[in-house]
Amino acid sequence: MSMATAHPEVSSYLSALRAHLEDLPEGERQDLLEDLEQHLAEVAAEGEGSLVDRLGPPDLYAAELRSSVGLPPDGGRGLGERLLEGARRSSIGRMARGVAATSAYGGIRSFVTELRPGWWVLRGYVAVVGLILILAPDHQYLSDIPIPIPWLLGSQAWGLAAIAAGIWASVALGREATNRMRARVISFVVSLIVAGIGFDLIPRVQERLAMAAAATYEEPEAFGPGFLQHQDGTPIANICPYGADGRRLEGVLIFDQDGRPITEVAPVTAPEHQEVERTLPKGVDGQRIANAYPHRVMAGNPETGELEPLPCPSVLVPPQKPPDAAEQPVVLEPSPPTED
Amino acid sequence: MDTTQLLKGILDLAVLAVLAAEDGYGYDVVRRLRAAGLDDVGDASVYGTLRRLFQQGRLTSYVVPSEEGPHRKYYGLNQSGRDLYEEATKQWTSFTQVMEALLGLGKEAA
Repeated sequence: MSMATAHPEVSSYLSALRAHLEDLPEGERQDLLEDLEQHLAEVAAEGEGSLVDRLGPPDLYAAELRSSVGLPPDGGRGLGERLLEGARRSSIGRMARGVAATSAYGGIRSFVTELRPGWWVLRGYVAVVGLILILAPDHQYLSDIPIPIPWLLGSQAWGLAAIAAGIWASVALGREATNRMRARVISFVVSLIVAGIGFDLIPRVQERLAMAAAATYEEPEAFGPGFLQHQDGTPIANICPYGADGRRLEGVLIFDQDGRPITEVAPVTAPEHQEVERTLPKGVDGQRIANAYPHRVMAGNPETGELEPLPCPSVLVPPQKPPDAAEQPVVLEPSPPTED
Repeated sequence: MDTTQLLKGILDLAVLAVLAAEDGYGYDVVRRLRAAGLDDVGDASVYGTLRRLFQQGRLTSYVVPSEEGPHRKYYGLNQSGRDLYEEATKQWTSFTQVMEALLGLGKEAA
């Protein structure tokens, strides 16, 4: 089939042309050159003079050829453009062009175009957060604001800075993609990867948020559940009641709103003292009353080795005026029957 | 005026016209175009145009084996190609009418 041996000039011209078509996909280049070989042989067979004389130098021929076939000039195509060019030329590409010509598609497309910058921002955020969570599985996470901001290098400020940088990069990539083909391919690939990360991210974020929420309700370990403590965790070891006139009261029974006795005071485990003996007041029947306060606590002093009483603090309670008759609080004893 | 630019625009129609008259192979089409008066038409342009029209689905092609010379790949118009030729001819006709009117006005003014 090939006449190259009869026309060595054809094969050398062809080789030169091939050099200028190297950026084409293999199949396309082969196709073009195969037909071209026949064509050049035909030209050589029909006329006089060298191919270069009649057709011009191979580089110009190649440029003219590319132009009339509809290819961009040599050196103008990267991988992204070649892929897109191949897709366009395929039968799928032709169908796509037919669809693209419809007006409904045009409406959808312009809407999608408006959404694009928003996607760039989201993409940057998800990329940064995703990378942090993937690379640091034990990452501590806080969600003060509706949008979770990860901690980085020990502070949220760094996390915020990283997210800002990620968003900036994503938007820059997106804008570059509207102008240049290679950037468009890179942007598309990055979007796919980030979308994948994002789907994987959702359960992780939920998990972290749950962990963060649980952490704030952690009980202090020094005292197990069931002992009274202040909100900051300080154990309540005794209840010291005082009257309105500033006198210390003894044997005060403490109940809650349902009438349950309050008895769960914490054992004293302050560093200086270890609780040794807690004396509860006795009732009339001789039984110890657990909710009668204050408890009398004796503790051993590690330094002296002796037992010391731990009295209620002598708080300076400014004596209050004894209540007026009109303001008399309700007394808890059966009121004498009145006859009205 | 640079005729190469003009030529690029109308080469598709010229090639279609040549093939509409009769099927042809690459160099044959070049010769016929030059014979018709398009002396400047480039071999690469014609070859490339034939390839492109073929890829766009406008042409049929077949190889005619030959004992003496190289095998020749012939191109011809298919139905789509004929439709395109008809359409492009109409466009050309109306375009030239417009141009002639424009140029006629120009002439009178000069």
